[in-house]
Amino acid sequence: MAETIKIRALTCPHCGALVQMRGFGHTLSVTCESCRSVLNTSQGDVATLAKVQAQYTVQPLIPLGTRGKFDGVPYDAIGFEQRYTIADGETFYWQEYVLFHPYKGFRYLIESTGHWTFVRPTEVLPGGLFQKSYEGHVYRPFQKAVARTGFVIGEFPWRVEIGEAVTMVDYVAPPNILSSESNASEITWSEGHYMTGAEIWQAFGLKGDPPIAVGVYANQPNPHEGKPAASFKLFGVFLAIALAVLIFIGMTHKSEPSYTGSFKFDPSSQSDQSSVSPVFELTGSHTTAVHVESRAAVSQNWVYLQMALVNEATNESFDFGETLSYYSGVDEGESWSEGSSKQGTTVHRVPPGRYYIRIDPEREREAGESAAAGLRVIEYKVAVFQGVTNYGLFFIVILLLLPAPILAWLRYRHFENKRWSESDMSGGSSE
Amino acid sequence: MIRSPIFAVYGTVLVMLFATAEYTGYGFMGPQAAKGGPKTVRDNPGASRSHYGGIVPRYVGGK
Repeated sequence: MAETIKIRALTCPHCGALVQMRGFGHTLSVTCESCRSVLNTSQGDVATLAKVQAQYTVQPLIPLGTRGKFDGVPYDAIGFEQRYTIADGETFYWQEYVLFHPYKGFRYLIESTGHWTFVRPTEVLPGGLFQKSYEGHVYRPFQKAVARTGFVIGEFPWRVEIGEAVTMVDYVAPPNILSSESNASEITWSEGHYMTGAEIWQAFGLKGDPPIAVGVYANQPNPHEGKPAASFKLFGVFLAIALAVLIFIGMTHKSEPSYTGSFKFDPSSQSDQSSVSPVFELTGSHTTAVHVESRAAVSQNWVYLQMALVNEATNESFDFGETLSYYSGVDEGESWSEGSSKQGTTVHRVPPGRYYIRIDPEREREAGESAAAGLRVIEYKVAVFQGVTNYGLFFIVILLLLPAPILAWLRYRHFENKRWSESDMSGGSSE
Repeated sequence: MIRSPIFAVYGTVLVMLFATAEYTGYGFMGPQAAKGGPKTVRDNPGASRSHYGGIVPRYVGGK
């Protein structure tokens, strides 16, 4: 059964209208809904704090007297005020609701540009100087401003005054916020928790839609919180699996070549210098990558080997060429060398079977080259290795995996940058 | 709970493709298979010249 809150009433000394009070003896000031006079109820007799308040009127989104449930506790909305601050010549407004429960006391709801925060007074003073700590959370300073009261309606547990100014400092640990309000005589601390408009509408059972939240609010939780860490962790898992696959595949490869052969190439010979290897076996039940390595005794010399790995049964061939060249010398006291006497080509997806290699060496005499250099006999060797690891694919996999965690991190940072761009603790100025 | 389900699925598929590619010796680059070489090539190697096309450039000279 819903609790019944008894309502006390008094007569407005200014216009004579009946003024309802739901906050029992806790209410220190109340506004007359008829003439909008602010009345002081802290004394035995009702006195007028302000006869007519601000020239403007603000309609609370949550009608006063509406009951809403927070953490299972029903609170009545009994007061509403609009406050403002002036920063860089611009006035920023926000709305605060006073909520009351006879046993739990007062709570507050703050609404700013569609963002809501449920606030309660702190039970102990927060610790820390620059950053504040409270109930296990570390709060970073976010903004400091002078807040002024612009419009009030309903009941308040303090003597509310139009135009009253307090220095307000906010510290954030999203979704929590810690706020201090101070004037010449006192400092009060409160702690709040971010809520969405939909949650507030549901708590109060309000009809229609809440105002759309604009921008990123100080204590709004980052929707990408934890995602960068989770994505990088997942990336690490995939990287480890890919590395394990690479190691496992590498371990299953034969370290011995399937074929090795030595050949000689005489460029001065008029006869055909092409060679064909004996048939060798590429074993297994599936296609593999085959690496053909060639070495030639070239020094100040070069040779081009046109090769073909040919399947004896199907006559299917994989054609490729290798240039082996090595030159060295000393130029202005600096020794130099270029080229390599060893080259290799990987042939992919080679079916198992019986193969041979056909080699067609070429070497033409260069212009200005001595006959002796151009006609030297070149010895070369060819080795065939079955099952080689393709490291290029591994790096492609890394490149394809990496954008996801980077994107998650960028989205997280983008949200945080928008949050902190509103902070005047990082260079902005306020009244 | 997996916080990035799309990435989890994407990564799993990618790693599986990688494992399959490594197992079957797949590669993006390299010589392509060609059919139709003469049957007598082993007996007379010079009778058939290799295919000079493809992505492996032919060397055109030394120093």
